[in-house]
Amino acid sequence: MIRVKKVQKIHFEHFIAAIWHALNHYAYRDAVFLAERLYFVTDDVLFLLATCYFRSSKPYRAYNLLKAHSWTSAQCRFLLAKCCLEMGKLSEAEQVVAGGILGRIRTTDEIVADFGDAACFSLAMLGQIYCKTDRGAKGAECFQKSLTLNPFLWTSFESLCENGQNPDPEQLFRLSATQNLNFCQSNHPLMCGTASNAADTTQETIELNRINLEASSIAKHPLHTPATSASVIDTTLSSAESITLLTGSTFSSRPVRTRPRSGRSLLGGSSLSPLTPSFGVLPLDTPSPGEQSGLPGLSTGSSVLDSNLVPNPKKVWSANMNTTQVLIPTSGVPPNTLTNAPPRRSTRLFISASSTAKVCGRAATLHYRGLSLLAILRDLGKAYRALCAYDCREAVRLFEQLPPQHYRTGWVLSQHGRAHFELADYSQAEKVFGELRYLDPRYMEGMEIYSTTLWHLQRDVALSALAQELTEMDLNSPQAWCVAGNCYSLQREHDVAIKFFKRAVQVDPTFAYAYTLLGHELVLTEELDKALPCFRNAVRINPRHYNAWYGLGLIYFKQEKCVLAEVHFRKALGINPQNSVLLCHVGVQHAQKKTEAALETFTKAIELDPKNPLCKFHRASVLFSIEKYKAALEELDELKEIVPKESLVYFLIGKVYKKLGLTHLALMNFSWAMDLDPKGVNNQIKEAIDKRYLPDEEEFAGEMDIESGQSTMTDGEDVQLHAAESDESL
Amino acid sequence: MATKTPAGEDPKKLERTGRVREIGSQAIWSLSSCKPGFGVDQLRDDNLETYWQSDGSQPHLVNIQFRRKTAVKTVCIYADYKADESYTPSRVSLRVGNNFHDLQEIRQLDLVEPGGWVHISLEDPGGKPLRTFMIQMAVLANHQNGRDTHLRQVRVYTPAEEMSLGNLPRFTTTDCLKYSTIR
Repeated sequence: MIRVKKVQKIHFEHFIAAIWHALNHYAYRDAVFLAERLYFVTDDVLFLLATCYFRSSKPYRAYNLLKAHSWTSAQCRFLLAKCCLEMGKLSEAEQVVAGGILGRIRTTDEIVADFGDAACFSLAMLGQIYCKTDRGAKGAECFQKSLTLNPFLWTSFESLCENGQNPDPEQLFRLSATQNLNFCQSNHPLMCGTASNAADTTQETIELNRINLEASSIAKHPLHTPATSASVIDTTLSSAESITLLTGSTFSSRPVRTRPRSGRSLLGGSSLSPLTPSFGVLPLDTPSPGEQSGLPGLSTGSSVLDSNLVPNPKKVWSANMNTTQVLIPTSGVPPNTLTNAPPRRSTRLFISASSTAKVCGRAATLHYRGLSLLAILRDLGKAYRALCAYDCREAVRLFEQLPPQHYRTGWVLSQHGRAHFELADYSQAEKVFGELRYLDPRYMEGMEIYSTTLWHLQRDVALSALAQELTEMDLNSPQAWCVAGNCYSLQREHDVAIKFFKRAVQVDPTFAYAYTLLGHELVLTEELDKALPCFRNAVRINPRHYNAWYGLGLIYFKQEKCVLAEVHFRKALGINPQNSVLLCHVGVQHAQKKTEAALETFTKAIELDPKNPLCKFHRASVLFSIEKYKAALEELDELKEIVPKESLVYFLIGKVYKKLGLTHLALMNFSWAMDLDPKGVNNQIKEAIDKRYLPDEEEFAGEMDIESGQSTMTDGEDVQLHAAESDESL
Repeated sequence: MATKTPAGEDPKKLERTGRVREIGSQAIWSLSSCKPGFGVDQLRDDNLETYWQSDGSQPHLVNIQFRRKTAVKTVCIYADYKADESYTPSRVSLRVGNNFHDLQEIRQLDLVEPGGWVHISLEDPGGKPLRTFMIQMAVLANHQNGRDTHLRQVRVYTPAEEMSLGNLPRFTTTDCLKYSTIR
């Protein structure tokens, strides 16, 4: 009888192992099928089955399954909340995470205590829910807490920045003692070494050592047999494998540095040597010569890990009968750890294989690596925070200071490009984005900003090429459709552009920029009533989307509702105070009534961005309207230097001269203006020239100087002929 | 022998300059008569192969009604004598007004064997576009005294004032244009 039971037990374990094996190899249908068989045998595998459903993109099945059981463990509830979020059931998700017994809302500490290991993720989810339901302050609190628990949650930091909070990257991207413990609390013994690698203060080093000692004591436990595989792996592999980088954003494989084995000999020696943590795989560890020299042996370390990814399984597994713990819980691991083993793939980041049982000296190298990672996160965090606060010059400066292997990655380049874009420095932005496209042609985020940059610069060929490539790549991304819409908008086929923007909205209703672009397009086709709700939608999704506030202001301006227009422009300015174009618009608006205010605004705009010709032009025209001709002329002369080909500049100069009575100069400038703009886009120039000699005749009749009058009249005839010719050419 | 009406350029080119915008989509179109399958959709489908064929007595009317008073700069029609022979319009009259009872003829033109786009400008001598609620295009006579008419495309254009704030004129260079708006 006992024998039978034992056999059954083994089958059960094998089954579970097989299911995780299938999950880790993305064979979801197998995993689901097997797990379903198991579920009807025992309830313990509830979480396992739900995970199978969730990973095979069927959150609704996982949801229904988990819903049916109310007394489930923390991780089941976590998964349930995740399913709810995925399905858009925000209130239910909130209920699961934060709702206590009898409807009492739990505090973050209670949530932390409840969810244990998954606390940081649950808090991040809760923060997301709060932000979506307009409770920004509570959301920010949750994100903060999640970051204190786990400083690697970049998305929480991003959300904090985007909500207008000013999180301090210095404080956040730091590993403290409690965090080490948290990680070690994760049930998997292999996780213990992780956090210790990332310590970077002396206090943390002490922690690190303490944990090393602890871990080494645990390490003696036979449970750690899987860990040995890692160490053996290292010895079997040479450093010849190329490093393939884990992070999606990095793309180019760096050449492996052949490190002297001596640095890592300890690894081979002991049975419990640390496998370098996966963040060694990040580009950090392919140091350029100028990089920190304190990273010896890192590359070999990462090559070890990469060997797990690189198709060389035989080598790895031959070293040890056990499979690498990166992927599979070996059958040697007792069942009690399995039921609460966290999803393996996500822990890859944290896998340090064995504990850092090695001596503190070894920890030093890992210490450096951890330092570098957190340092990079801090730098990126500072730059991103500056960008979200629209302190764009600072952001540009910070981005440019990043080390090259981090700088030349998709995310960084895209944010850098965006920083230039927000400053209205489109040519710079174009360069940065061009580099991004060259380095990583598959990077999709931020492409809509690139397309708008090209739209502003009127590069129709580049824009249509971009649209073509992106729509081929991924039809389900809103960015591709936004780019396509921008392309058609540049070709002035507004109906098609509107169609594409609507498609972008359909593909992803939470993409605010699609709504903004749709609104702008509708404004261009003069359908202001339809444009209003588009901008409002954009603002609803992202209250800090200043483009949408600007759009609203523009609509009210066109409808001549000046007060409303001003309110909205000010709101946009409040979010992005460094944008000279916005200031320009506010100024133009003022110019309608309050000229001093207008002048001040233009002055401020010019200070912010001396390259913006429009501010100067508007200032000059305001000065012209209040009859300060000399000042206007000065401005216009400066403007001539900046944009020598702009016909309107000469036109305005001509008008000023005309008012000043210097008709020959006026004529000269008018004719220059006509030359620069032969199609006569602006009828006003023609009118100005035609009207020119009516008052002239009177003026000169008044004066005694008939000769000059005659000469100007002949000049006038010449100009008229010139104008007539240009008419005919039309 | 009257000279043939020369074919005008494709109005799409005009559109690309950004100075005009097609606003037929903002109007309600109706016809005095049509053969089934050859109606308003075929007249407005951007396809020169399909056409409207009338099915009643002359004059054949195309009515374009806007929701609000709209400035109209040009009306373009595509008529091809080689393809349509006796169905090609030879005399077209343009009337504008507020509603059906209020129309006044403002332009009448004779087409002689047209071979493509015909641009009918509705601007007054000062260059200002015409503001109206309704345009009615009447085909009064066809070539070879045909009874029914074919019209392949009709487009209505309004002057576009893109991206300009207030009464400011539009800049011409990219350097200035790129600063003129936020998108």
